[in-house]
This record gives sequence, structure tokens and C-alpha cells, in this order.
Amino acid sequence: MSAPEGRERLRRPDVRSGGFLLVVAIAYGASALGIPAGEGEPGPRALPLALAVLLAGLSTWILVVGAREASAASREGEGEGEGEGVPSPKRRPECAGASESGTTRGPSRGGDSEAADEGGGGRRRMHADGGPAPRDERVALAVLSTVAYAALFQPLGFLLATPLYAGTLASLFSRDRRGIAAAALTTTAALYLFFGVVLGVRLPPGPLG
Amino acid sequence: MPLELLADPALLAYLVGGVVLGIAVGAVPGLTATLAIALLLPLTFGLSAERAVVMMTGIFTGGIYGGSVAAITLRIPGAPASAMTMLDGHAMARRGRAGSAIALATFSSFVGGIVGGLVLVLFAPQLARVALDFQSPEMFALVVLALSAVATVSPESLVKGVTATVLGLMLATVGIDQLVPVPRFTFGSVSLLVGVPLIPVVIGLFAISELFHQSGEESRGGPEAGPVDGEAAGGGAEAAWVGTEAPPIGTEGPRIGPASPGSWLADVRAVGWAVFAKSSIIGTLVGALPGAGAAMAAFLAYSEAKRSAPEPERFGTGVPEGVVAPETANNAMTGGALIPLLAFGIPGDAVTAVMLGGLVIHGITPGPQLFGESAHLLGPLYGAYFLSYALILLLGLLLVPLFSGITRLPRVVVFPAIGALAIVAAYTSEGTAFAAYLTIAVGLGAYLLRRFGYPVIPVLLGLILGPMLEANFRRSLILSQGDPTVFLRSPVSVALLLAAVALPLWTLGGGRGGARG
Repeated sequence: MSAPEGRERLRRPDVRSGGFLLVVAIAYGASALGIPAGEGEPGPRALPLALAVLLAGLSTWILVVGAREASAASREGEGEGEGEGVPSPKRRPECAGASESGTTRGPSRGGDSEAADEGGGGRRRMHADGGPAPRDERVALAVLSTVAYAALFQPLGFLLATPLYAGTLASLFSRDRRGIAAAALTTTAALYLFFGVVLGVRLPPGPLG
Repeated sequence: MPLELLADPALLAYLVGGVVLGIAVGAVPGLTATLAIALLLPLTFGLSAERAVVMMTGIFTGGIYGGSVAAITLRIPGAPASAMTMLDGHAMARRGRAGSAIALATFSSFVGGIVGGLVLVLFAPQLARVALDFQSPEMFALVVLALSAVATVSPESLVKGVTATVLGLMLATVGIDQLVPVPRFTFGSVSLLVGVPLIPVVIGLFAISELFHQSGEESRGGPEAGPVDGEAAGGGAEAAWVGTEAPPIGTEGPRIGPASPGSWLADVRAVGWAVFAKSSIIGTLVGALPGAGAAMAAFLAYSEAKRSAPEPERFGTGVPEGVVAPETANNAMTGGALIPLLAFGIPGDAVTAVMLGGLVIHGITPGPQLFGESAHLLGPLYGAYFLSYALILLLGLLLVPLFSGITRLPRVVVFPAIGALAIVAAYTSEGTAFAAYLTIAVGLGAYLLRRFGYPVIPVLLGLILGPMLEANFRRSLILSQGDPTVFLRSPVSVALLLAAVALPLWTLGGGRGGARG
């Protein structure tokens, strides 16, 4: 159905996400060890420790199966891929990092997957092969502008911060200046009407207040 | 009882106002029914107890219904309970059947709501007695079953579903321990001492992650249009439908056919009464158990409908049963959840917890005395409940074209509004900037999970059910002095645990075998 390299691309994200979650499990478990055990019956740290072990097991499973399938797929082509040894058939691999292109990334370096997803956009984009690849720099812009909005919400006030933020987001979806301006203004007006007037929420006034 | 309400125009006006506001707030993506009640509660402060009860009931039912609209049209459930409706509802919308999906959801809400209400009025004492018999081991088993159902029902792989559940349970461990005053995973932050607040997490999981997801998608004019950076017609309304995230192969984006009554009535007939009946029963029973919420009712009904369907593998692609089952159960639960809330003061979930707060503000303390000294308020409450569902049916069917129009809005309008709304709503829900940052962090995490093929709904259920899971587990073991067989002593708990194990096995069998029917 899909080409061998397509298969491999679909599976390698499992290696990365499994590796990253393994790091999460270890960090969480290490932090859980600092919780006092309490006396007698299962104390405050029993569940956290159990969850850490569970997540470590699950993420290792995802990592190992993902790595094995990727190598099997690259060795044999597609014939055997759907065999019995596949415990987690991907029923909907919708956005499973399909943009991953030819660059080789150490499979065990799952810990950096988050950073890579945010920052590594430029490189990946050059390899984009026409699929519905998420553009990482666009996502990064959305993330950063949202953080900036949260940070500026109080100092600038609702009426100044909101059009700036809405306009930035709108520019991701449109190049038409008037459309962007209209989106920024209608968003601000609608939210102000809803929260400020209808619900009577006290929105930060900023310097305008 | 409804007749008395009809006879008092002022009371009726408060009910209609409550339902309309509830639907409107619930339908706004990222705003939950919980948040709707929390935000609208101040409006009832100046009212008499009777009017306040009527209006709050309207907000409650309207908010729960409204949550499904955003789930269907935008793939952003307004409430955790709508998350299951999202799977097939949004798939229907993407295939141009948003109108039918909303009409189906409306009708299912009506059926479930009325059945749940009848059970509430007729069988409240008996159901409440069953629920009261649940001790810690049974509650633990019930929570395990709910979590198992969540992980199983997710359309992604079972292993990833379980992983997401564990991540949610981990979030739930943040804050001061419930049984021993020990802080866990707070890293010195005062804001985290009370635990991870629910509403910012809900907004982050669904609204913010969707925003990030959509930001990464190019506007595409059609399947053949490559990712062109300088897309000339960027603002061109025809280029950027909301639903283009995964256009069906070889077709254009969603077209909203008008919901011709024939089309959704045909769906209702095709679904058959069995799904309605089963889902109503599941919803009512789940609702009557203290602590089990609407989301769980929807999950269980969905998985049961999927399990018993002749072609379970079609679930998730936009089958009417996938809308009917969770919607019916979700609203049947609404009636069921009021049973423990009214009779014992135990809220069923986040929404009923906020309801409880509102009732207390008006001097109504749910519990046995409500049926004694405050019994005169039960009539208006029951009446408001049934009338609000009649209103939902009426408003829902009349406003279908308006609701389904939401999917026709270009992305340039929708996503800036969702982003700003999500941050303002998160900020408002807790009144702190911390909540806004938490929402963004959760949104980024959920975006990455989705991108790597993990479901996010189990994260939410893990967070909601985590405290119940842990408290009941530990209490059971404390009562039994560490003897783990305490979970196998009652037949109820054994049956629930067996079901929790069997559910994933069933699904695996069904998924593998394909043609079991």
C-alpha cells in the first residue's frame, strides 16, 4: 500500500516519542522518590512510583517496537509489516510526524524531540516532500505569540494585547491585510462584548484604563 | 410540575434565558459547561432561590448540549463529555453532514435527557441506595473500568491510549496528597499546591492544541495544491476551510448540506431504538454513581455501541451510531447525576460540582433535608429540567443551519478567536496568569502527543479520575490492613474489574477479526 520509506517514516516517530516519554518516566520517578513514604499502608508515593514504572514500561515498548518495525520495514520492504508481532496497529497515524525526512537522527535521542519539533523547522522544511507537513516555524510562531499574549495580557491590557495577538495568529492563516485586520478587530470586539459586557468579567484595562 | 412553570412567565423567562446562555457558552469552543455555569452563576445571585434553581438547571442542561456543537463542527469539544461525540460527529461534518450530525446530537440529547429525567424522578431512591452501597473497593474497580474504557475506545493504538491515561494520572498526582498532608510534584510553587486546575487543562488539551495543530497546516486549495508558501489567495475564503486538516482523499473540504429532516430522521431510523435504549440506561446508571461523570457515560456507551455494531471498524469515520450513543448517554447522565447530587450532596463530576456550589450559595443544601424542608424547590427543579430539554430540541433543530455555519467560517477568523478566547477563559477561570501559562504548556504537550499519534482524551480522564482512583485504592487497603484481596471480596467489584480487563480484549478481537458480525 505505502512505499517502504513511507512506512519507515511513520514508525520512526514512535522511536522518538517512546524515548522522550522514557526520559519523562525516569525524571518523574526520580522526583517521586523524594516524596515521604509515609508509614504502613500505601503512602503518598506509592501511586507515583507505580505510574513511573508503568510509563517506563510502556514507553520502552513503544520505542522497541517502533525501532524493530522500522528496521524490518527497511530490510524487507512491505510484505511482512502487518504480521502478528504488531501489538499496536496504527489505526490512525494522522499526524504522526509524517514530515520526518531523510535526515538521520539518533534513535535514542528521544529527549530532544520536543526541542527539535519546535526549533528544527527550517531544515525539515527544505526536505518537505509535498505531504501535509506541519510547518514547525509556523507552530513555533503560534506558541511564542500565545506565550507573549499571556505575558502582555495584564501589562498592556485586554484591549491592546488582544488585537496584536489575534492579528499575529491571523497572519498565519491569511496574507490579506484587510482580512487580518478584520479578524483582529472582530475577535477583540466579540470577546470584549462576551466577557466584559455579557458576563461582566473584569478584564485587565492596561494603560487604556 | 412543568405546568406550574408554564403558568409563571417570569420563571419561564429565566429558564429560557438559562438554556440559551448555556447552549451559547457551551458551544463556544474551549468553554466547558462547567465554565458556563461558573461564569453565569453570578447572574443568579440576585434571584430568589426558586428562580435561581430554574435558571441554573437551564444553564446546566444547555451547557452540556452546547458542548457537542463545537465538538462536531470544530473538533473542539466544549466539555469532556462531548469528546466522544467529536469522533464520529466531526467525521460526519467533514463529509459535509454537519447539519445532520448536529440534528442527530440534538435528538439524542433530548431522548437521553428525558429518559434520564424520568429515572431521576421515578427511581431516585432505589438508584441512590445502590450507589450508596459502593464502598472504596467497588469505587476503585469502577474507576479502573472507566480508565480501561477510555484507553480502549481511543482510535489510536491501545498502547498509546494506556500511555496517555498514565500521563493524565501523573498530572493528577500534583498537589497536596489527599490522605496525608504532603506536597507532591509542586516544585515549590504555591499555585500547584491545590493540584492542577481542571479548566485550564481542558482548554489547553483541546483548544490550544488545535490552534497549534492548525497553525502548522498550510492553507490548501485542494488536494493537489502543494504547500505553497506564497499562497496568493491566502485570505481567499475558499482556500482555508476550518475542516481541511484532513480532507478526505480526492474530495474537497466540508460542504454543509442543509440538514433536511429526512436525512437525519433516516439516520435515526437506521440507528434503531436499541442504541438509544442501551445508551440511555448506561448513561443513567453511570450518572447515578457518585463520582462517575458524563464523560465516562459517553465513553462506555460509545464503546458498547461500537462493540455491538455489525461493523465496529467503521466507528470514527462518521457513523450516526457514533453520535447517538455518546450524546444519549451524556444527557441521560445529566438526570442520573442529579440523583446523588440532590439526595446525598455528592457531585457526579466537575459540572455537578459547580452546580452544588451554586445551590449552596442560594441556601439550598443538597441532602436528605432537601426532600424535607426544601421540598418545594424540587418541583421547579424537575419541571425546569424537563422543559429545558424540550427547549433544547426546539432550539437545536431550529438553529441547526446557524450552528453548522460555524464550520464555514474561514480559518483566519476562527483560530485567532479561539486562541484569544482560550487564554482569556483560562485566565478568567482561575483569575491568575499562572492558569494561562498552564493552558499553553498543556496545549503544547497535547499538540506533540497528537502529532506523534497519541490520543489526548485519556489524559483528561486520567486527570479527573486520578484522585478517585488513588484515594479509593489506598482507603481500601487501609481498611483491609494491606490485604489486596479486598478488591475481590464483593461480586460487584470483581465484575467491574473483569469488565475492565475484558473491554480491551474485546476491542482487539473485533479489530483483528474484522468481520465478526
